[in-house]
Amino acid sequence: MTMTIATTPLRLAVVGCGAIAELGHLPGAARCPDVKVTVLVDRDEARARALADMFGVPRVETDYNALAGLADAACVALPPHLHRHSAEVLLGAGLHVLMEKPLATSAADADAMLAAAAAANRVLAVAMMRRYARSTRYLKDLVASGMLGRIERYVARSGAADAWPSRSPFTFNAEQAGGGALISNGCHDIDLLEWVLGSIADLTFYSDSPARMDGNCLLECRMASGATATIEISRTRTLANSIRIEGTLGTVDAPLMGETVSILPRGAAPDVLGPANSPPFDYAGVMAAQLADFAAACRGERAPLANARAGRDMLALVERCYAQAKPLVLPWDLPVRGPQTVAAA
Amino acid sequence: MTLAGKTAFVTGGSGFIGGRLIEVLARQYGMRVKTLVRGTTGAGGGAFRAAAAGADIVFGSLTDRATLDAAVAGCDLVFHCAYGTHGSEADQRLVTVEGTRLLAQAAAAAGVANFVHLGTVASYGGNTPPVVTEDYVNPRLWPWSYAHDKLAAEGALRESANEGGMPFTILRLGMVYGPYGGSYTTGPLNAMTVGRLALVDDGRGVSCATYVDDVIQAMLLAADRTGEGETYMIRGPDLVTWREFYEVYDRWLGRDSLVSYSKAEMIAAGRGQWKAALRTLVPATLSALKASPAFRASAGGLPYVRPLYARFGKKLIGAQVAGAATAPEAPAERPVQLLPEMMIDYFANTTDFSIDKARSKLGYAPQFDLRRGMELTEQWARWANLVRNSGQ
Repeated sequence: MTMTIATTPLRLAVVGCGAIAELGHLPGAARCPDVKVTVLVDRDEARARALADMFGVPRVETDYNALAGLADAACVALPPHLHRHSAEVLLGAGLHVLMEKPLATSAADADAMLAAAAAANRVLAVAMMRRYARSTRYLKDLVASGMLGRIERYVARSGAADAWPSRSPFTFNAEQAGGGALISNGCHDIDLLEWVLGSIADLTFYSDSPARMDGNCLLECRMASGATATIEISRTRTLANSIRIEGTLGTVDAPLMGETVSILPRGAAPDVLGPANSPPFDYAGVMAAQLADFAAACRGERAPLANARAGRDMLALVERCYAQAKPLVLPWDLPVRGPQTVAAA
Repeated sequence: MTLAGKTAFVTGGSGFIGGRLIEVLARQYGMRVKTLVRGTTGAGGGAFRAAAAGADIVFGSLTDRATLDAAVAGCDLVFHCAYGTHGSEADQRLVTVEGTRLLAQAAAAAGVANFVHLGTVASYGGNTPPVVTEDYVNPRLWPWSYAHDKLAAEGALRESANEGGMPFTILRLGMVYGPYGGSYTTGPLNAMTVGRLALVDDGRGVSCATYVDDVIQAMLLAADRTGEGETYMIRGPDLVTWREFYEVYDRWLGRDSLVSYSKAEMIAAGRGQWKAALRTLVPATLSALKASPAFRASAGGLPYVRPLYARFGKKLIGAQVAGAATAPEAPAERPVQLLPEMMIDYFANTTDFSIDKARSKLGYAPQFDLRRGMELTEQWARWANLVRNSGQ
C-alpha cells in the first residue's frame, strides 16, 4: 500500500485518550504525514494533557461537542456504548469519523450512524486495523490470486491472557462493550475471515458465558464459497495467534498481524520451510497506514478499506452469534462435590 | 445455610482459586457473586474469566475500607482468597494483613453470615514432625514474608471477627494445582518448556498436592456451616512427592525437563546464577546509562541511584564497561529454574499435614487423587496451549 502525502494534512481530533489512543492511534499519527492531530479530547483533562505533551498535540478539550472548527475529522476511541452518540454529534458538526471497533454495540445503532454519515455527506470508517498489516494483505491477495487453489479450510486462533492496559472498565460490561471476547477481540478475526474468504453462510457459535461476556468462544462457519472456517477466540488463554488457510494447491500460515507468511505447496513436507525470521511487527506503521487510508477517503479519493457498512454487518453477525449461542464444552469443568451434593456423592 | 441463591463477595476472584470458586458458586449454586479486581489497567485473563462466569467486577483495593464496605453490603458470604502479590514486601504485607483486617471488619459490620479465609500450611514452619495437625504450633516459621504475613492475616481475622461477632473458618492449603493454576501449573509448565526445573533431594519432599476442585469443595462445606473460628488443613487424598508431581508435567512435555540437586548443589547453583546475572546485568545497565541521556535522566530520579553514583561513579562505569567487552558469551543452554535458597527446606519437607479433622468435622472428602486431578489438568493445559498437541 502506498502512502500519499497530501499538501495539507487532515486536521485530526483524537476523541478518547485511553490505551488504544496512546499505544495505537497517536503513534500511528506521528508516522502519518497525511494527518496532523490538532486536538485531544477526554473527560479526564489531566490525562488528555499528559498525552498531548507526550505527542506534541497543541490543544485539549473535555467535550467532543466542542470540536467544530478545530478539526476536519475525528478518530473516536471511546468505549463502544458511546460510539453512536459521539458519531452523530461529530458527523453532524461536519467531521469525518474513523470509529474504533466495534462500530457500535448493536446493528441498529450502526444503522443510525450510517444514516447520519449519509445525511452529513461525511466518511464513516471503522478501525479494522488488521486489514493494514502486511501479512493479512498478502493473505488476501494470495487467496484472490488462486495460487492456493480452491480454499477448503480456514482456521484462526486468537487469544491473549495478558492484560491490555485499559483505562476504563467497559470490557467487563456487556452493555457497554456489546458483548465479550466475540465482539471485543473477535470482531477483528471475523472481519479478516470475511474480507479474505467472502461471506459466512451458516454458523455455529459456542461461548463459555451465559452473560454475553465470553472469555472464550468458538465460531464454526460454512462460507458461501463452500469452505469451512473455525475461529477460536480467548481472553483467558494465550493462543497461537495465527491463521491457517488450506487450499487444494497449498496451505498458508500467517500471524494475525505480522510482516511475513509461510506458504507450503500441497504435498510438500513441512520441513522444507526454513526457520521463520519474521521482522518485528510494525504496529505503529499499520496504524499510520490506517490513518493514511482514512485521510484519502476524507479527501474523496476512495472509499476506506473498512467502511461503516462492514462494521455494521459485523455487528449483525455478532448478534446472530449471541442469539444462537451454545455452551462451550470444557471437559474439566465438572460439578464440584459440595453441601447439597454430599448425599449423592 | 443453603448456598443456592445467596450473594457472595470473593476476593482474589481474578486469581486461580477465586476464579474457580466463582464459576462454581455462579453456575452450580446460582449465587450472585461480586469480586474485587485491583484496577482496569492490568486486569488480565483472570478478571475476564470471572466476568465470563457472571461475576460483578468491583475495581478497587483491599486496603480501601470504603470500597470493601460497598462491596460486602448485601452479601451473605465472604470468601477471602486474595493476598498481596505486588510491590515491595511492605506493600504485600499491607494487603495481606491489613487488607484482611479491613475486610473482616467490613464484613462483620455488614453482618455477613460467614467468612471463609484461605490460609497456608506454610504457617506451620519448618522442621515439622512426621505428622502435623491443626493445633501444632512451631516457633520456627519459614524465613519468607509470605508465611509470616499469612499467619498474621489469620490473627487479624480472628481479632476482627471476634470483636464483630462474625462466624469464620480458616482453611490452610498446601500446593494447589489445576486449570488456570499459576505457581504449580502454568508456571512450571512454562519453565519446563523453555528450560528445566530443579528438584531438591531428587524430589522426595511431600507436596501436599491438591486439585483445585477439592479446595472448592472445602470452601463450600465451610461456607455451608456456621463458622466456629476453626482451622482446617486441606489437601488431596494422597501424599504426593514433588518428583511424582512434576514427572506428570514432564511426561506431557516430553522434554526431559527435571534436574535433581542436593541441597548444597542447589545453594551453590543459585549463588552462581546470581553472580552470572550480575556479571551480565551490571555492565549492560551501566552501558545503557552511559549511552542514553534519557535513561540516565530517568534512572537519576530513582532515590538510590544518585548516592551510588556519587560514591562509585565513573570509576565503576569505566571498569565494568571495559569488562563487558571481553566477557565470554554464555553457552546457549536451557536455563534451570532453581528453588530460592530460603525455600529449599520447604520443598524437602516430608511432613504429612493431616486432613483428619477436615474429614471428620467438615465432611471433607477429597475426590481427586493425582492421577484424576492431572487428567483434568492435562485436558485444560492442552486447550490452553501450554502443552502442544501433535500437529499444532
